[in-house]
Amino acid sequence: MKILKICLLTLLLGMLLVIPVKSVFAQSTEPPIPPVLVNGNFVLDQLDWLSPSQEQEINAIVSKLDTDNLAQIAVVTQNDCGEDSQAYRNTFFRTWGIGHKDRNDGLLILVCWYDGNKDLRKVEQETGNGMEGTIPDLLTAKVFQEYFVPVFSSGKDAAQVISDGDAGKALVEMVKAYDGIIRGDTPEALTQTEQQDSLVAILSTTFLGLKCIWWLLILIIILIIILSKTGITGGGGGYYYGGSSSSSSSSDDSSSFGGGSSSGGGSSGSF
Amino acid sequence: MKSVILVLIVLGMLVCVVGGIFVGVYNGIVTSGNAVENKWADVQSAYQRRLDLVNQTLPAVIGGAAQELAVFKTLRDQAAGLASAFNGNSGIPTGAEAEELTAKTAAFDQAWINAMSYVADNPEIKSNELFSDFMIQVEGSENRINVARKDYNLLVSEYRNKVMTFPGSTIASIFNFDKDKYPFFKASEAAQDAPTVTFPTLQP
Repeated sequence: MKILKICLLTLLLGMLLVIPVKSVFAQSTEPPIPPVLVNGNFVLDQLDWLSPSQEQEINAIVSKLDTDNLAQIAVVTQNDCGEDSQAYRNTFFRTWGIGHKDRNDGLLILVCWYDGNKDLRKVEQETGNGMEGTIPDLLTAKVFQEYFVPVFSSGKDAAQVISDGDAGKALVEMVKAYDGIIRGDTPEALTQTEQQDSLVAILSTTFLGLKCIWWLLILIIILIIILSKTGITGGGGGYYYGGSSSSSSSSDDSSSFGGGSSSGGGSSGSF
Repeated sequence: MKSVILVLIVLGMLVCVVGGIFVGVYNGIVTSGNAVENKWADVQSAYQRRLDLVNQTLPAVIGGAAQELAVFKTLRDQAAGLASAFNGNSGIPTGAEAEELTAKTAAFDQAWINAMSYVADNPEIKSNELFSDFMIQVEGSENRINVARKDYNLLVSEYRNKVMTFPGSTIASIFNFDKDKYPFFKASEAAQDAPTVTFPTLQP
């Protein structure tokens, strides 16, 4: 019995040596990405440009696009987007995972205000891989120029534009324009049935270099030996469905976004 | 007798577990290498998109007369040279081929800078609405190149980590996985000095 215990212990310790060390890349000087929005909220208005009703309007439009499985649009206003706002918007897009995972149909509209500095302030837009056909780079620039730029070049003071709600309105108009464009190309809502055999997914995820199913087999063998040593007979044994490494952190809020990705499409426009 | 059997069973399990781990590590290295090669295809297509803009869209934008100017002819030649360097390789270029690619990228970037410097002094071209559209598309494709390059370099880095750290290093030496198999894609220095062409903002 003692020998068995020692052998098992050394075995387990040996396995620990194989834990892969994930390399951590040095943090760049980019500002941190805000935590991802949850529960069907698609607007993060850190500059306070949007009135509650404007925010609601955007959320309603995007929710419909989301449930119709056409797109996911995130609208974010932020003061500092770092030195390279183009690189930042790509990181932002990927961190939030905007867009349905299988369709990559995300669009990020990121207002980078930089305290209103005319040389720096921009609206960065990034499209997901699957969205580049519907909304090519040029189109994002056109939508920006048509609906956003006039608001700030109307002669009014920038602070006035914001407090009058015109800046917020510009964002709403942009979202509406995109809604029209997206729906114009796809007359029928595309519905896709998700065929995920969750048990197969769990069993085939890799854990410490071995597929989960192999770990299960090892554990079963160990248990059979232990059980047979302690005198409990019976071929079935206790099947142990533990050790699943695929469990995502079970939080009460789930991300509004589907995990889509982008490869740099979009445009950045100064105003 | 029982203890001998027990030791044999445990040894057998040990062999299975260690073997299983090694298989996992080997597969991890192979998968990582494949990811690098896949991403290289993305880098290629990002560059191709850029070159297509120069070859196909730019002529219409600058007009028939300007096309014949030396600065734009050189740009087209460099674009053609770069395209052939990219597409002539079946896999990721290494060694001499990689250096040739870097050199051709630098030559193209320099030709682009020269062309844009010419345009900056040429109000006729700058005020053409087609030209501002063109620049938006160029910016988009340059961003795509940057992202593809960054992703590629990241994957190369991961591959090297897998091959150089234990136990990957053991597997790598057994199966001859070369840590330098995939070169990092370096940006050409000329690209850092690209001039910014400012053109009048469009009035609605």
